[in-house]
Amino acid sequence: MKKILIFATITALVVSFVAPVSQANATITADMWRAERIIDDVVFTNASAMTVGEIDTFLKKLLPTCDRWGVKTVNSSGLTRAQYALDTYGVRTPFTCLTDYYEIPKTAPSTTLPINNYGKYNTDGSPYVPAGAISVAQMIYNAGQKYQISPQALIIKLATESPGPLTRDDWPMPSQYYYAMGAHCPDDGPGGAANCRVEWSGFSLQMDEAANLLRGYLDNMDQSWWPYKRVGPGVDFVKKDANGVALKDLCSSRVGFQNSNCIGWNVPASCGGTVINIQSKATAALYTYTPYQPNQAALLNMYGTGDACSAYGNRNFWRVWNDWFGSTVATYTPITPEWMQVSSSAQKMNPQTGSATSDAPLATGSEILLTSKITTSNGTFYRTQYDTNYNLNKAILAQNMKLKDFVNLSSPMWIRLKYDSHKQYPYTGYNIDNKIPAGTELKVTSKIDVGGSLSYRTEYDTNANLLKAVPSVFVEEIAYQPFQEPRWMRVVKDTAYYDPFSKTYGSTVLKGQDFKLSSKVDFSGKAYSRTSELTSSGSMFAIPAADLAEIPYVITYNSPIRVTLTTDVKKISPTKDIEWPGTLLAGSNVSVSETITVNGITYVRSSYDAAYKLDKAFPINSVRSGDYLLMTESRKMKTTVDVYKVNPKTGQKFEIIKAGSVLYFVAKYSTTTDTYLRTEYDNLYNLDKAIPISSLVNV
Amino acid sequence: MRSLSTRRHRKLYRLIVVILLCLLLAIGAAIGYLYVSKKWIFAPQTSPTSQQTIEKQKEAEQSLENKSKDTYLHQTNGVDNPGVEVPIASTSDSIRILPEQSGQSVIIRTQLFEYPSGTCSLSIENGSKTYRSEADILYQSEYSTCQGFSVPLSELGSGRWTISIKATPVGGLSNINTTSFEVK
Repeated sequence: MKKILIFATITALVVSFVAPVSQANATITADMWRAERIIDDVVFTNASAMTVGEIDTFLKKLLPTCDRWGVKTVNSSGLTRAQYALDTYGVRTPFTCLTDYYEIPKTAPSTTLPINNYGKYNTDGSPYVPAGAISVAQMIYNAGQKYQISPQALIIKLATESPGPLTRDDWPMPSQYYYAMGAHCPDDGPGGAANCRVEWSGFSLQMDEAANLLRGYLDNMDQSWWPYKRVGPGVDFVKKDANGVALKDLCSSRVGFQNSNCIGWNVPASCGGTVINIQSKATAALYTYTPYQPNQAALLNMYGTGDACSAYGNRNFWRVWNDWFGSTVATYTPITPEWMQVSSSAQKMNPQTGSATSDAPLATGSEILLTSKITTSNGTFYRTQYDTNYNLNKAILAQNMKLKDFVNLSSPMWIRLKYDSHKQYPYTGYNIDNKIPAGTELKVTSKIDVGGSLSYRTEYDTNANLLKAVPSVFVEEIAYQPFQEPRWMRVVKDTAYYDPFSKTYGSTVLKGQDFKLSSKVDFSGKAYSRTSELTSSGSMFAIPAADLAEIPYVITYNSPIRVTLTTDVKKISPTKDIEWPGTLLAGSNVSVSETITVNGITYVRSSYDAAYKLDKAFPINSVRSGDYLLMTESRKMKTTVDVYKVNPKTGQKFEIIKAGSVLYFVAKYSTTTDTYLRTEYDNLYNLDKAIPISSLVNV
Repeated sequence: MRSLSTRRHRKLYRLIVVILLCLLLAIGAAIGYLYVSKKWIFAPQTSPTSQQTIEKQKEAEQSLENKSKDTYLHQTNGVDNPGVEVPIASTSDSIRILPEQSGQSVIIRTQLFEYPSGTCSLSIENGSKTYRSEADILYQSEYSTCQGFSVPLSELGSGRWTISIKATPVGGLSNINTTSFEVK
């Protein structure tokens, strides 16, 4: 029981929502009718509203089945339609419905009916098509194109003028096709009945002539001689009969005059009418074609009949259009949000009237995001996002807007995509073209900033003036970046300067040269390092990083040598030109084992720093090994003759060294007459013994 | 002593009731808001729009259309083509000339009866000078008209002029009507 109660409650709630929704669908009501604005010009003359295929599909949707053989029963008689048609109209089955009807176009007035396929079918059941005959859809389309009238307007005219009407009748008789559009069918028959002129008989001629007349009315109603309905409040015309007798105004109590826009409720003059301040040419054309307007009774029974003074032609045109195709009034349609720029000082306008609103003028150059548009007889207008969101009827004339221009970069730039990206149409942000993989490098020569988003355009697209660019948030600029720590490096093989951007080579760079490098760039998978000089000058040339190597410390002395500082020094990083804190005082003794030569200057590293691989050294010319100077590198030499080791200062002789002896020398002492080299052993023990360099040769 | 499963069922039941009550309250609040703001089904209607009324109207219209079709077909029964030939226009009342001086022009509006197509010839003369022009006929269901008779005053002069319109229907005989007009 409880479960039933719960289920019933939920069901009731659901039903209470569903039922009202089905009743809330919009229907056409009398208060929606605007006699002065049945339809807007831009809607009425939209000749491209439907293709032939779409017209055909639409007609088949209106008339999905055809009672070709008249099997259904005629209510009043009890007879089948086939029997009734034969007995009453003298027409035999098969009937041919609108969707199966073909006709060889009749192109000029004559009393002859055009050849058509009414009642003729192939054995497979398809409609027989005479050579040269075209379908109803094709006739409608052709007339629309020829006279620039919307095919929708012609379809609705067909639905409201033809007996049946043909758009709904599933058992039409041949004569229903003869005057299908009511063209040349004045209401001068008995009791105001339509009295169609035989010369204008034939579906194809009716369709063509209806469109022709409507176009003629549209094109000529601004002429001074125009005597029919026109846009505006109308003008007074003299109203007299053939004998010059003044006639009564249909719309007022005046005699002898009548406003051109006085439109009656129905054929009998006794029904009267009103003057309409017509707001569109299409409306005036409709009233010229069918010169009656619906009275209140007709409007209050929108889907039915009114009273004796009710006429339904224009009411039905408007109602059926709303039911089938939507509003007859040009409406705003959403567009892909697009940024545009005000090209000339403009104001928002009312698109229907063309008058400016009270909004402040829009500054030239200001960027605006537009999200809907409308086309009226005053032109095409774009509406801002704010006005669209609040459904405000104000917009900017399209001719006052333009797409913002790209701006050329002062110099070309290279960029690299950080992510898989697409080029975009910068005004909407929509992707176009195929995906571009991350890492792709592009040369860009122009940019655009739209709505605060910066995008870059490639050289190719710039030259071709294509409106596509890559958002800057997806890219990083390929440019030389400074080293955190500029350093000296050594060229390890003969190479040349190279500009990776222009792909051009510069002068040769020889192996063994040292350069101080302060910036680098990665391009096309390779790194390039730029010297400090070239960095300062802004040159794009650099040395391929693969051809460079760090300058190493070299174990110069087989055993650590004790040296004395001849001056106060600070240790430095020889390759980075960085000074370390702390000062070594002159006279300090240091044990050294390695040297490094950077750009021709030799530095020694202490044994301690070498053991811990610390990048600290001091110039070799700031130390002495006793009175001797350390050589920049130990040298292996051979005595050429038997020679004494001597004290180079006193000349005292010591042991004799045989000719051909190979010794390692690490320090030197120079006198005015000669230079003496001291062996590694003697240097280690600071023995004041050396051999004249003239007795030695390199090994 | 209640069993464990009975206690669990009671708890679940209470939970469902609470949820339903909350739902009802929310729906009630929404409906109340819609009522106060006169939206949705509470929006005022100015004419009968219920589906049943529309269906009845459509039935009436359909019935009228069927009747109109039947009447039309009865009228045309046995006739190859139910149309009538364009009546032959007679001179006296088939061409009405309505001149008007406006600004720097004399506008000659015309009303042609039984002239669905053809040409108009205009002649304006004062005995010493003649102005001529041609225009096509534009059809309209009440009366046709000559397209384009707007004569610059510079072509005329002040005084009384005789205006003649000859209307020639396609495949038919011409008719002429004349009137006089004072140009100021």
